[in-house]
Amino acid sequence: MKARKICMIGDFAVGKTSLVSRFVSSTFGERYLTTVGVKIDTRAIELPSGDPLKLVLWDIAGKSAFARIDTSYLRDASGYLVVIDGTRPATLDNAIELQATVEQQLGGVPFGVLLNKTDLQGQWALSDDLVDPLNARGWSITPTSALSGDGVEQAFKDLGSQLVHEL
Amino acid sequence: MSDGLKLLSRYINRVLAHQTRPLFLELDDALQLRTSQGDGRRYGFRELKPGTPLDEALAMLATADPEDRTPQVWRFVELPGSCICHVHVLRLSQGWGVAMLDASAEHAEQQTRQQAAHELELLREERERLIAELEQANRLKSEFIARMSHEFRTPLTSVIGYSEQLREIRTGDQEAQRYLDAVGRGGRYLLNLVENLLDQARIEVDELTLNPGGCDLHEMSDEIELLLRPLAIQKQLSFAWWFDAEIPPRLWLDATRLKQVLINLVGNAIKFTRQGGVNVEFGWKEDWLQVSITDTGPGMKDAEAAVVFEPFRQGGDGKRGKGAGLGLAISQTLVRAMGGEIRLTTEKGEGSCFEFRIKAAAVQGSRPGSTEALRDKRIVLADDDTDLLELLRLYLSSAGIETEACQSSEETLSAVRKTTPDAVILDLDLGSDDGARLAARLREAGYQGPVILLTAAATRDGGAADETSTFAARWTKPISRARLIEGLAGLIG
Repeated sequence: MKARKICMIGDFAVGKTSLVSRFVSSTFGERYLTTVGVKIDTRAIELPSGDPLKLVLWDIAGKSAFARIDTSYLRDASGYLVVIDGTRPATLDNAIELQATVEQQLGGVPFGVLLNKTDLQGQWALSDDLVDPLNARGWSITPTSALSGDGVEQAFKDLGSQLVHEL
Repeated sequence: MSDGLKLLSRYINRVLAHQTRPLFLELDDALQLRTSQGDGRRYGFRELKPGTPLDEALAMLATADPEDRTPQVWRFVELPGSCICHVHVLRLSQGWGVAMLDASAEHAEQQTRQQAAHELELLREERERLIAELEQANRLKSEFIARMSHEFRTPLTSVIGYSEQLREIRTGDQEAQRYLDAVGRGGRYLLNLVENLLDQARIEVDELTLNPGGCDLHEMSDEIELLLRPLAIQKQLSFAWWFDAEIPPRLWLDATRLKQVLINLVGNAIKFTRQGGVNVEFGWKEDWLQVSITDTGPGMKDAEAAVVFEPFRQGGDGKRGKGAGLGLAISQTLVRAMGGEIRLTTEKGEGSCFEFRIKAAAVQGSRPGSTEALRDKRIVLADDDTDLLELLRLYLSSAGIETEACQSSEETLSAVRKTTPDAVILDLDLGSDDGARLAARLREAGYQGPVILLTAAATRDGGAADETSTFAARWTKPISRARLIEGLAGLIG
């Protein structure tokens, strides 16, 4: 089976680990546990062509004032997902910076942007004004909720399909 | 290497090996195990026999570039079923060499530290978000109060003004006089309440402004006396004003603000005093006006006095009086804005004394304009409130001034072109028209006389044109007849 490496990047506490847990094992943990280093998981998906593809998911520790992204984890990645916390607008600004850093290292590989925590509508802080510039860049944006699972499966599979086009 | 160093090197290797429990793996290109050394179970491997497929357990190798021979080190890697480890990967001539070093202890330490830091950061972000939300809500509340208070001002101008007009017309009718006095008192009380609410809102949005000018303290005390004396009489209190002989005839200060402070402090003193009286004393020294208001009221305990200047609190004997509890808070802010400080001395059962001082330079060579000289002057009035236009017309005609009342920009422009008045008094908000724009159009049309702004808006609207250069004066509604006439005398008398 073909395998492709996907990196999860974004600020700390945006829900990267929860998204991978939802996608890989259909679970969600309420408690926030910060990631140090990288968690590696795999899940096979079926491509639209019917062919299987193993996604090797590198859930990389989030960026914060106390921890920088370790770019050695990005090596050989075929694609990546940039995660933004919809309740914290600052994570959107940081996501733009991070994407530029990753693109510098990996080149123009496929990537997707996840606006996570759509279940927290009462605290949602991303207006159209903030999100429109991302759309204007032509980025593929998917609203997701690791809690409910909304959008998660689709986001990973969409990126997986793009990776095969790149084969 | 000497024997000693060899010994030391072997010792350190043993210590490191004990701490990191290394597992060494050699795999072929198909990621099947060739050979291994170390405890595989620590890293999630049930068995490590030659030929065991490791493409699942070491999935990260499945996506590694076999052409890239740079050694790779990944720190703090968490693999399913494994302890957290540092992974070193070497590309061999055929296959892969992998070293896995237990980093659980180091990881736990880092995670504890980062977890605490991140949780703290999340709390800080949440606190900032809540503060921003509260500030926004508070701003909206203040804007709402300011807007509503402003809406009250124009009708109150009519209530107070017409009751005064009627009082003068019906001088022989004692019963009507009493009723009109009550209407006037009620209107002024309501106006004071509105002013306080408006000021509190302005203070909260940092829009409090001062408009200093020449002020006669005796005239001001007469106006306050007119307002507060009836209540003092009703409560059978003595009520006296004392003026130091050194006080100059006119002082440079914001008369409206000082009057507001005095109405609040003196009004409170009368309100809370049951017997005895209230004394107001003015002193002046080296450009500072000193004021004290002393009463024989119930006084306050220290705990009450400590919070008496906080908004929406009421002091006294703990019983809630009329009003919003804003008077003292606003008075303190106003006194500070005028360069001074307010002080309370009080004791339970022994009465209270509020003292403050504000900057007030003597006005040299001030010559008020002549009201007599206003006779036969022509004024164009522009306001969309017909009641107010009629009241202003009454006020001005009493001084022999001819007026023309207009309700729109076009009407005003036409009247000014036709009559070339001595002055134009206009409202900033002319219904659908903008008073500031009208003033500019008057100038464009060649009108040279003073254009005076009479507005219910207590704050300078940032969106409006620069008032300082556009208008000769800015007066706030409600305006008394005396103030209107005196103001005009200063400009065109």
